[in-house]
Amino acid sequence: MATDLIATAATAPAAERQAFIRIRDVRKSYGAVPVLNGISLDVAEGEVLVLCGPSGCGKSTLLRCINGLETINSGDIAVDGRSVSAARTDELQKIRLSTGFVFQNFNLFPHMTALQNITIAPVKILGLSQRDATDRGRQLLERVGMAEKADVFPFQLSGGQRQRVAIARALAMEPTLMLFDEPTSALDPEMREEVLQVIRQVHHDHGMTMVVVTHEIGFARNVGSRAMLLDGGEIVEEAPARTFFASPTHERTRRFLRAIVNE
Amino acid sequence: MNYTFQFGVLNDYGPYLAGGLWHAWWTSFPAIIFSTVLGVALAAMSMSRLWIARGASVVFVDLFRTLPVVVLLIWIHYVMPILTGVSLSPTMSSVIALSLNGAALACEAFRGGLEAIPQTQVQAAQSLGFSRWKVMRYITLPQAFFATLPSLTNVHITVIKNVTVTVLIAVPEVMFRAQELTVQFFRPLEFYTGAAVLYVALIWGYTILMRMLERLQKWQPI
Ligand SMILES: Nc1ncnc2c1ncn2[C@@H]1O[C@H](COP(=O)(O)OP(=O)(O)OP(=O)(O)O)[C@@H](O)[C@H]1O
Ligand SMILES: [Mg+2]
Repeated sequence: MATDLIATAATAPAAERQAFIRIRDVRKSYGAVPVLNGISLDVAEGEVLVLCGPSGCGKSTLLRCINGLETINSGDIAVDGRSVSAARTDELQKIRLSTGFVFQNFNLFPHMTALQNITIAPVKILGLSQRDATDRGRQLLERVGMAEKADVFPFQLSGGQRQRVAIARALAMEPTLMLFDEPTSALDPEMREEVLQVIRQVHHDHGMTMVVVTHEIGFARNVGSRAMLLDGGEIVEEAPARTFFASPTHERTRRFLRAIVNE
Repeated sequence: MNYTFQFGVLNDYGPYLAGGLWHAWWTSFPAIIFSTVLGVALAAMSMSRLWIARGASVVFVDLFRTLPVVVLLIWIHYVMPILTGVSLSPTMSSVIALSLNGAALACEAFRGGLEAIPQTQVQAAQSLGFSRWKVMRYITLPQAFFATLPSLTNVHITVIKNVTVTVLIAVPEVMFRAQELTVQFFRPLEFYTGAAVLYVALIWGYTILMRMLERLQKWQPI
């Protein structure tokens, strides 16, 4: 019985397998201002989706909706087969356990050291012992190159270091999905690479599903499997990442890509 | 001015007057603790999703910060026993009155501190699976605590100062004793000046303690 299921799953064509993230006709407005005007989108397991778009087009809003941090007006969002949009608060908390969110402005907890930032959720939410969480936290800090900064508070860290701790904090929950909201755009150019390198490494080590909002074209081309342009609350263009950046079909996309290259 | 100072009476009765500080402290200290704990709870309630919790918090705060402390104290000490048949010691009545008033003030201080925490902190915690309660417990309240300390110190000072109204129901604190001695010796200036000095010393001492507590904050907001 179990072997049957595995066999079917393995032989099913990719398109028929259920998408890891399934978004159907999602609409979201803040008061009378529409932000998302009917977004439909599938992300397969292990895929890295790059999300681009001009400021204010709703990229952050879409990520927050995927994580259930915003309620949507209509449509449906499911992650790993579980509906986010229809979930009760306690179900939502469970779904969020397997999704990591990395914010543009890091959002580290300023009253906790780097290590405490990483261990608090495993201890208080997953119920790990302090010692296990600390061991794991130190390993994670090591992996993001922050081992020496374990006992330092966020205000004593540079932007790039803060973001690396924030990534480690999300990884500590062993998520199956990572959402990155412009992880490098608040950083000085010389700090961007250290963060992008960590994200590349995470992708290489875990191969987890990722949705990345970024305007770092080089990174997006290398790591991204698919890319899309969001504008006016709609998906303008969607293509394999290399095609998207090398030969976009829509004029809107071409204009957008020219604009960010000239930045 | 033809008053001759005779601070000599303080040599004899100063210790008795200062002994009133003991009562002032043991009235204000429990009131400070209760008002702080109750204030945190009320502030948390004011941010609850349940309208009944928010409503209860608003009613409490608006009632007890508007009721003059003297009215509240007299009511608890003299009126409540008529209604309930339970009479409390003067100190007990005073602790309750000062706690209720202090809690309303502390709630407003904490609420200000909590509301100053950026919403992004809440989102970051929620994205890690924190429930609303755990966000409050581990993320917003600990951050708000230090931000609230200076205004909390003001609330506590108000509580200590309010101890002087307990003179009305004969809690033997400093003002009560000053009054008692004045009636006996007709030396209001010496005894009331002594009382003033003692209260200032008590409050300065307390303020220094709170400053030390503020220095325990090792982190900075970012
Ligand atoms: N909490 C909110 N309340 C009201 N309006 C909001 C809120 N959050 C976002 N908006 C509005 O929704 C629109 C989309 O915002 P969003 O942050 O998703 O854009 P974005 O694509 O992430 O932009 P950026 O590149 O600047 O981060 C904007 O017009 C913004 O002003
Ligand atoms: Mg954004």
